[in-house]
Amino acid sequence: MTALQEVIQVPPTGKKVRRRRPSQSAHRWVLLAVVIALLVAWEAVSRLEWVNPMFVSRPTDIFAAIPDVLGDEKAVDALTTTGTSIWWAIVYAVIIGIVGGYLLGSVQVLRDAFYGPVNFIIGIPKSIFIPIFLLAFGINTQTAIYYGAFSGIFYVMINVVGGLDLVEDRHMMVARAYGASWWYRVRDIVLPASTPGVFAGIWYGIKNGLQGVLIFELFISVGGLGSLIKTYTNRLEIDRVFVVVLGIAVISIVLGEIWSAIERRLSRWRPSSTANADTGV
Amino acid sequence: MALQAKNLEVTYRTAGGRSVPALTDINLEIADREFVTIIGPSGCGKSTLLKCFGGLLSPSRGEVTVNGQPVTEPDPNRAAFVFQDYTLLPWKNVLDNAAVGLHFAGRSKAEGRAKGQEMLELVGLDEFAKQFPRELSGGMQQRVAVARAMAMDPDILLMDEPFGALDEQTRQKLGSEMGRILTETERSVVMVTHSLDEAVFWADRIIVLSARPGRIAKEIEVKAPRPRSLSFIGTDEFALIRAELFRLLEVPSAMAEASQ
Repeated sequence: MTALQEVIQVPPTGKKVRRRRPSQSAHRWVLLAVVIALLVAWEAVSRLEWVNPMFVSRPTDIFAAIPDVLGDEKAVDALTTTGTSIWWAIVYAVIIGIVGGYLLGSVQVLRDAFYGPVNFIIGIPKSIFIPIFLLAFGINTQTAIYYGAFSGIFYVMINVVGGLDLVEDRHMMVARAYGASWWYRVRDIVLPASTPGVFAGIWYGIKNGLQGVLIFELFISVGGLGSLIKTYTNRLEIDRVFVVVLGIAVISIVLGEIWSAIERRLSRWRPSSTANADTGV
Repeated sequence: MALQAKNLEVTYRTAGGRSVPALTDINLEIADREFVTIIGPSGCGKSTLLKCFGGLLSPSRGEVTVNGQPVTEPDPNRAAFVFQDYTLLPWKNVLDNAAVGLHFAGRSKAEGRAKGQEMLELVGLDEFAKQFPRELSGGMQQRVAVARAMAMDPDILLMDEPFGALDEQTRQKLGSEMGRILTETERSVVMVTHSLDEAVFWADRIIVLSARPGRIAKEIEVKAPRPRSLSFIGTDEFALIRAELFRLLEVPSAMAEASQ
């Protein structure tokens, strides 16, 4: 350690010493134990017929139904349809939301005019707009995409506006003092400074886009996993319903984890790189 | 002569439309390689004056010239700023922060990084080039801010309370080292400070501003040669000038007397 480092007390080369806290692995075991206990309790309640097994399947029945569902051609088609719809809904929500958010956040007139209505739409259930989407675009999977995008756009926008509010005057003053052009100010100051809001917005776009597509599929029979849940429910194949729900949960968790990893990688500069968006589903 | 301010006056307009004079009747000349500190009561317009020198603020009246050229907008090659609260860009690593001015000037990445690395070596932080600002102490971040300014090879360095956010021990240690670096690089430096010790320790000349509207109340020359070691703080010259500054800033009648 050099004399300077001794005075200022900074790690010499920035190499971080990663140590797992002793409580961390214990915490994981406790979580696993809780999950197993809940599954055992669920199984017991069902076997003792405290609830009707026809309406609430046992965990063992659900796990046994997994190969059946995976072997069902309709289920595979539904997964493909929903996966494609979710992908496009997220793409539209994120792109339109980010562009709209930057416009709303940087043009005062637009902000004054539309910030209130955007907040209003966020505050009401989006499902009340489903009939309007049906009238406008018809009963098809494309409408599910539009409705999914609609469900996510406003969350992306509002978070991007919040991100723009994080741009600090002192950084803009540095850019000005060091002769940065408009383009450099946007690229090197505004965009990176607003990334926490943009990242949070993208996550909410993913989450709400996914929900929007599934809700549309549940309400309107246009195929996909939502419609499949309805079909299995009507046939009282509750174990299969739970398999589909489990599949949706897995998709959601995988998307969340992928996004969290990307965000952590892109946010290394932040004071706490673990302080990413709330990715709880 | 590096910098000249003639009949400088700055007036702010409040939201209610009222004119509030911030600076008035500022006439000042700063020579090549001269180190000038500006001190005055809180709100007297020290930072406003520095912004006028760097083109970040247009004066209401009067003119600022650097090497005979009028200052109308910021030009970091002419006058580069070091601000109070580090102001490093947290999303860029130390090297890219040091080279950011060259990047904004459209210079190639290789050229910017070579110059940035050279300046980091000058301030003793070359081994921290790949780290992010959050991984550095306040004193180190301020050194990077100095490297960023020096990378522009400016005629004048404008420092706005650069060590204001640091603790006393770090300030003294850093002040001594930066004094040596700035003397070696042979720049003209204008530094705003609210610290009596800093004002005396660094300067060839101290400009004392009166309370708002700020005007030059007194100019005090510090004769001891630069760079100075920390032992200068124990000399009679330091003590006498410090006492004079204390009197001017703490006793209102003394300031009024000096202003006349």
